[in-house]
Amino acid sequence: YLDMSLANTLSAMSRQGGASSSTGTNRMRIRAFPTAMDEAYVDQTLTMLQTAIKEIQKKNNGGLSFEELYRNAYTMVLHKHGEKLYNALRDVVRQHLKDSIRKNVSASMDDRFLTTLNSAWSEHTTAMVMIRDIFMYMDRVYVEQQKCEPVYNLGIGIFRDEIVRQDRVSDHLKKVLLDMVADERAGITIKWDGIKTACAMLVALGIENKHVYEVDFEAPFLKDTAEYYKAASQKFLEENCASVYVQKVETCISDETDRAMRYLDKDTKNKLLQVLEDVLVSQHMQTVVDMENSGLKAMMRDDKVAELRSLYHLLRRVPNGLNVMTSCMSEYLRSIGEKLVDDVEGVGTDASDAAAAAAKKDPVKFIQELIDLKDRFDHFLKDAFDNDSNFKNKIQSDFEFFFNKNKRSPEFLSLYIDDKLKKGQKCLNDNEMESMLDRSMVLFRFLSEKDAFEKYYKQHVAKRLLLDKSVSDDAEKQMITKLKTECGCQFTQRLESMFKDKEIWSTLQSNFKEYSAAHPGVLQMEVSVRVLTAGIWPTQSAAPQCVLPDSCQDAFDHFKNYYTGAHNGRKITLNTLLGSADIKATFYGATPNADELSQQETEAGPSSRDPVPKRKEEHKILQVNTHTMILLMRFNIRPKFTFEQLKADTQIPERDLQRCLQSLSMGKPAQRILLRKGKGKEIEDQDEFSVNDLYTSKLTRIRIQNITNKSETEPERKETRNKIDEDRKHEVEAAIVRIMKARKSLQHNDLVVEVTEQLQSRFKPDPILIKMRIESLIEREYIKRSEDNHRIYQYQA
Amino acid sequence: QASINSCSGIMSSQGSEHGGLVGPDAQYVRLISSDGHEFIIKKELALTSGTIKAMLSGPGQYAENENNEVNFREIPSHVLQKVCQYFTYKVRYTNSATEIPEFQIAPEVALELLMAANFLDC
Repeated sequence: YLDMSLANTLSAMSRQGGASSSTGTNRMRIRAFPTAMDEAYVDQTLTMLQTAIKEIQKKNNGGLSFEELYRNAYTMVLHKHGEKLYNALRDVVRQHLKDSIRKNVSASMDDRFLTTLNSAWSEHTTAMVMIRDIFMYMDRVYVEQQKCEPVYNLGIGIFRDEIVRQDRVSDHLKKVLLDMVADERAGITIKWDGIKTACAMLVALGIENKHVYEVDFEAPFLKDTAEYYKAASQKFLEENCASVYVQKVETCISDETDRAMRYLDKDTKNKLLQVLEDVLVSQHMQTVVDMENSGLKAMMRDDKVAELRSLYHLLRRVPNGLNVMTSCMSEYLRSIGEKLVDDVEGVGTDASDAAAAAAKKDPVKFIQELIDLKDRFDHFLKDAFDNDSNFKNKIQSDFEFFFNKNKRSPEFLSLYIDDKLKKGQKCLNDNEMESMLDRSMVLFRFLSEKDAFEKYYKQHVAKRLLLDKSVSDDAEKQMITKLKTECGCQFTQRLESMFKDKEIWSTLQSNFKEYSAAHPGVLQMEVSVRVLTAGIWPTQSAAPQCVLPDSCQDAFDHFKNYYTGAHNGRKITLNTLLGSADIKATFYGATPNADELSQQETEAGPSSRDPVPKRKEEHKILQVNTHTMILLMRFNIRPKFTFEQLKADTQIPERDLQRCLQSLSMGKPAQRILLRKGKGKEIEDQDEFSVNDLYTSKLTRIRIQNITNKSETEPERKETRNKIDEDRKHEVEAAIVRIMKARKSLQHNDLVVEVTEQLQSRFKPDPILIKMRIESLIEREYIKRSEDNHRIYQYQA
Repeated sequence: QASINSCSGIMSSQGSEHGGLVGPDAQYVRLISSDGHEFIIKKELALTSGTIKAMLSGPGQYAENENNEVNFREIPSHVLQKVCQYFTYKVRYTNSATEIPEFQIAPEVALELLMAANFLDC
């Protein structure tokens, strides 16, 4: 600023002290300050200024000289007449508004009202700007010193007090504006720039803040809006289905946002949205979501992804909106899941009814349906719910809930995988296999009893390997890798050992062949042996020791010699449960009197008979399992046996024997090798069995399928469950000892919490179980109770 | 007679109507001192003064805008001259990277110049 430089110069001058120098031309000329103004001059100046202001307000400023006015105002202030000047200014402005403008405005309380008011406002603001410019010096100096209202703000305040707050102008203004908005909502085109100007005016009238605008217009506007939409939303709901309602709401929101941006103050937009969201969405979201036939459940049922997406985006705006959605979705998902579970358990139908038992769903199908269900919901999650974590977590917890509701889920999941990995299924290519395994893993993660799954999976893998049913080693290994990644090495150790055993088999076989060749004459049949490391492979608790036919027993002994010779210090025993045999069978055909003959035979004991063959003898090769082989070989000794006799002779466990006999005598006609004489569905001790000489088949090689249940029977299940419980006891104890060793001393509750945490990846331990294990460990002196506090345990090294 | 300053942007008055003086888009304005000396300077420079700025660019139409000239009844020519020089100095060196020289003010003129500066808000 120039006056800064001047101030510096002047202060420099005064420092130099004095001005006169020798040269005449350098004399400082100080013009005398203007003399004080006298009263008359002051009044004259004031009047002149006031007249000028009046002219400005009447828009007659063309002829005025700015410089003159400015200079006069400047002089007034300089001479300390600022106060007079200020008051005079205020008075003249006020006068003008009172006298002319107010009348105009009051006179036009009709459809010209808005235009009149707006133009009065705009003229006033223009005038005030000009006035402010003229009085700029006063603003800078006097107002600063006195801390009173600057000129422009002063003018605004006067307008507010003299015009807007008079004669119900503000009420009328409010009414006019709200009516216009209502018209526009009804579809009538309005001159909305009038509203824009009026709103800007109201905002400006607040000077420091938007208070005037808020009170005079915004609050009533919002209230109006709320009421309007309350009524509208009721109507929408009654007339429309959920998705149409959502669309309508979206339209309203976008319309209103448009409106707000077009002519309302910018801060109103958010408040407006708030109101809309509250009235249109929060109030009704529960109703919309629950709507029959068109709400959330229906949308999911009919796979209406776009509608779900709109609903999601709408409800996301309001607090708690998404919770309403997730609760409803959860209900729906759970109901489907529970139904699947009930179906597979046969709940709801009479279990003794044979038809119901058949309706009981196949476990493999059950798992497949669950996988499909998960896929379906993942698809919703991705396409409609934007991968929102609320939904993701809800879906997960729902799946966990009903999947674990079925106590047999671990077994079923294993069966599903077994089904896919078995030969004879549709050939899956690599990608399909990978994706199927991945999906199974997804379900696996939901299991809370992972150790149960481990048991079943081991059993099924063992079966597959031993019976050569696995479709591909690679696929098996893939699955094991996935399990390892998920659960750690401990889980898959045994499985990997099983594979190791399997890999040795072929070497073993060829070595054995060499050995046999070196010791000819011992073996009467072809034998192939598989050696399983004890403890690794899941076997029934007691491997039954059945009575082998002599030839078989010799063959086994032969192998035993070879093996123990080759591997010092090892012992092997034969397990007959999973072996298989090929038998050559001759069927002699039958005479017409076959029945009489057989009856005679029971009375008279075996005697040679002279059958009159009605047909040639049939030679067949039967592929059977070991137990079946054993029992069939009995019929070489005698033609007829009772069930009781067979039991005693072969030492095959009763249940197994029943199954074998059932498949041989009560199964498909193509498999009826034996004839059964007996009543009732189940095989009784007194039932008699004989060879069916009339057996015939187109095939030379016949495979006898056993009637097995894919899944376990009740007693088997109980056995497995017991084993699992046993294992759990050990795991809990191991965890307790581990924790106590590290912590030395711990409170009971803390210990329970820690144990649960450590084991949660395998199963959920019952606190009572933990307590019992603690007691047992105390008895065995692994830990003890602290003397002072019974609730605290201490580690005993 | 005040000396004719050779600063750029200031032309001594010759009473001729330069093309840039007339009309609302005029580039030049005429500043007239109390003793009748006319300074024709670029409008852009004159706007350094807040007062002149309000006068010429404000919403109102005054006598000044009409003729693009301002009469300063209380500012003598030797002061007004210095003011114009200041305008040039200010515009030249505002936001400039080069070294800014001191604006020279003769002591005799200082006081009157101070008052003019106060008046003109610059």
